[in-house]
Amino acid sequence: MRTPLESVIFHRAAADKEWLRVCSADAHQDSIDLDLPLRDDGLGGMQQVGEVEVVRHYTRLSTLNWDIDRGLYPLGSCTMKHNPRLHEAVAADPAYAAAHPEWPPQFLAQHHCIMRELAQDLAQLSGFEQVSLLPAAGAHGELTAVFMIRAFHLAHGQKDRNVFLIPDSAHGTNPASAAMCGFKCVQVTSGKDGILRLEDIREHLNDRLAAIMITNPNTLGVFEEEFSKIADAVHAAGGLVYMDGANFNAAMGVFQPGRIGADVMHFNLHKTFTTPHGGGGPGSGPIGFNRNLAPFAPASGDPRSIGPVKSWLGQWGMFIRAWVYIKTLGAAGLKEVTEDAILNANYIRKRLEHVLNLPVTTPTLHEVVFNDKNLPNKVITLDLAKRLIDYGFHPPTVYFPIHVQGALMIEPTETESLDELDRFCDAVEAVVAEAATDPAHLKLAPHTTPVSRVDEVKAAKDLDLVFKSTENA
Amino acid sequence: MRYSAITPSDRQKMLERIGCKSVDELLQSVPAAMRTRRMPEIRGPLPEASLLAELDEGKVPAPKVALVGGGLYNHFISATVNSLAARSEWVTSYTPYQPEVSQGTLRMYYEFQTYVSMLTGQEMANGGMYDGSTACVEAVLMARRLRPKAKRVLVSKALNPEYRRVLATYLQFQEVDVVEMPLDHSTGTTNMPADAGADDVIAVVLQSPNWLGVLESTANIAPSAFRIVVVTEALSMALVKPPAADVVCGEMQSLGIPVQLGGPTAGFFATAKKHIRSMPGRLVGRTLDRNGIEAFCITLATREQFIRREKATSNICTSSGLMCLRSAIHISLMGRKGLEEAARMSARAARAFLAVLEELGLKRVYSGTFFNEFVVDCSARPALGARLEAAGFLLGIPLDKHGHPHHRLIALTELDYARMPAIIKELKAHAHAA
Repeated sequence: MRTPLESVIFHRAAADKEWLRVCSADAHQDSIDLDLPLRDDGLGGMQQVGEVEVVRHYTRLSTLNWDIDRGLYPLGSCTMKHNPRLHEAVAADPAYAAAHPEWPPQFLAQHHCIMRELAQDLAQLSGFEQVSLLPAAGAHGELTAVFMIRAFHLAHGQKDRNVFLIPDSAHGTNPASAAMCGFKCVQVTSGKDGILRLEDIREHLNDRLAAIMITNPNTLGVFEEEFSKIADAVHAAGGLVYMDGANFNAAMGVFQPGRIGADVMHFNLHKTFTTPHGGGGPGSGPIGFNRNLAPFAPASGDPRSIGPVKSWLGQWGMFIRAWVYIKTLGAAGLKEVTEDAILNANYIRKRLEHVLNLPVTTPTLHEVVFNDKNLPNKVITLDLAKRLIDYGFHPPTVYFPIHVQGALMIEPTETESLDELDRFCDAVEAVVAEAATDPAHLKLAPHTTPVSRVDEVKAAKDLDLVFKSTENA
Repeated sequence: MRYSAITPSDRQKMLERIGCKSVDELLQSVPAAMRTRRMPEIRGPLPEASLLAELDEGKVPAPKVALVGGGLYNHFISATVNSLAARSEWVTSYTPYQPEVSQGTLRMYYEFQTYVSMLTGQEMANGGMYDGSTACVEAVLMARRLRPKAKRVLVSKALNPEYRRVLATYLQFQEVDVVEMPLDHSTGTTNMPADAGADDVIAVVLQSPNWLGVLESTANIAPSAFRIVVVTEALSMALVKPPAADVVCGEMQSLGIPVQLGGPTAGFFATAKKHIRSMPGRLVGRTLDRNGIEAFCITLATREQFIRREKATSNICTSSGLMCLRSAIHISLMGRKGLEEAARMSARAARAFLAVLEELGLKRVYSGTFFNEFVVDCSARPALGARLEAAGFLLGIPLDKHGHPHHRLIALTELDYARMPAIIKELKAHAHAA
């Protein structure tokens, strides 16, 4: 059964429609004159929609989305795992949803208690001495760490240390965060086996080096086996080591970044700790760090603190979800999360390694990167990804990491069943078979979605970012 | 493990297929020297009912009345917003990089952009920021990109102190001087320096209504200045248009987002069309699909970190989509008339309550026009605030830690309008006992 493709809400709006009334009018208060300079532009052309239509509209819009509750969402380095309903129910409790940070502390005792325990648990898992929960998302955590690294070097009289080493496999947020603090980003190239070697960075180990940013396991899913060796060398050269914790789902109970050479790392509560992605946030990006960086942390109480990077306390609504998750699983459960995530990814790798090209054959942990090298008839990664949609799967991450041409990056996470993994692999096999038999059909995929391939060039050329109310006239 | 979908027999089957004896074998690429030797000390596992019981035990009763704002406001949120925004398709979807399977989220972002444009009176708006404090920072960073040679940022003393501190954090490593613009202590408005339009000024940053609740104006700022107006009480825009500005940015929390201890919320960011390529954050545009059907997608992504890396306009990736959705649903439900009504009720509640405080001999500190928040000098009744607090009635935010021992910043909303008689009764009872 198909409903018509729902457009944007403004087509449903009209000046004489009903609106939601909050409360009954009060004659005494309504007699008060409002000495305000009232706006006279009709609120920019805003009108009313009416409650029933609002419900229909947002329900219909929602059905145009793919979501993890429907099935596998195998985006690499995104850790799209099941988001427990329990977390949503707890976070919506008015005791937690309505609390205000300017209330006197006696009203916030439980909230602070939960935040303290969450910070301790994250420190336990990662091996860092301290954790700051404040940053609003992963990239924000990176930026906070970059500020701390700058402050550290300045405090040590090293104002000329302005180089950040960033491997070619890094997330785009890494160089963007470093650049926001004025650092010069130098890209370093990992080896053919996908591993960054000390030799690859040795020429940069000098008194200009501020820090290296390493994702571990990296975006190929490969563990950086020289991590400690590199960290020691970077430290010896006076630099610091930032670890991107996007792939922490592969680390719990297996290795502790804070004990193998990282000075600071961000967590993505919206990846590893299953707070929902919400169609692009909110996230939460706490950072863990060791003693050397502690004075520079936000709210460290030390005069050398960089200061706050966000108003108030951080993403409390995400903290309580992550706390419930950690309490639900305990240490053993979290280790099992990592083990199952690695098992699932390796199962997919094994099933697909003869179907797709595996550009790097080094053992991998929680994700695996294929590419389109051997696909026939000029079928490319994009075609394969789009066709998978017709088979009922969200595509993997495509064309990332950027150092693998035509990359197809798959991270199944631990919450997928064997049956779901098999169906996904069957679908990939079927699409690859189609590449040989019916490439034209594949090139036009998807065929089953509300809209087909979108003209992104037109979107950028004929910019239309805001609805013009004249359209309705 | 509660959320595992793999059974022990599946695990066996999978290991056999992979050609391994145990999961541990799959971990061999992590050298032994780097492996975790002892289990982390973490409480758990706790089954659902035990966990909920523990939470219930730890709960402290919330205040009965909390006239607390200061940048986060307790406004009405319909059950309809909570219900619609809780749908899995919104909650558990990813950033809409694959437009064919994300048209819901993409259409919502376009609506959010349009609503922000309507509220701010600006031509263009983005798909949201983390929160108001970082939106304000991003506005200053954008101004700096537009005026690379300028060195000073003029910041109003009445910009929310949380925002000022965040701005200071971001700017401390840049070659930028943050210059504080002082207050007129009689009106509570910002005294604008005569050289605000000078070449070496990156931007002038004002908040309206400002942190003390007073409306500001940009009318006296030289037209050559880059004016950033911050709005932390978004509902005010339903009645009062933000002052003329080059960027209007701020906090969307008042419109459909619970306070939740200050996060997550959503920031908004609006500006003129000519600045679009310097703008931070995600933008969603309307276009067509292959068959000529209306379709939406992320656009101008060449500004963003995943394409542009160190040359991006911002490092933002995951932002605040679900909170933007809540705002879009809330605004749609209320419509222009509903927002105006709620805004009038908030403003009237504040005036009704202020009149009672004045009856009790307390005085408003600043004379400038206010929306729903104001500062009162309580020195005539120094014990009143503490006495009310003990009864679970929060008489605003005490400003003693901001250097004003008897001043309190008091905010009211349409929810207080609805129960004004009870609030006044309680206030008077404690005032007379004091």
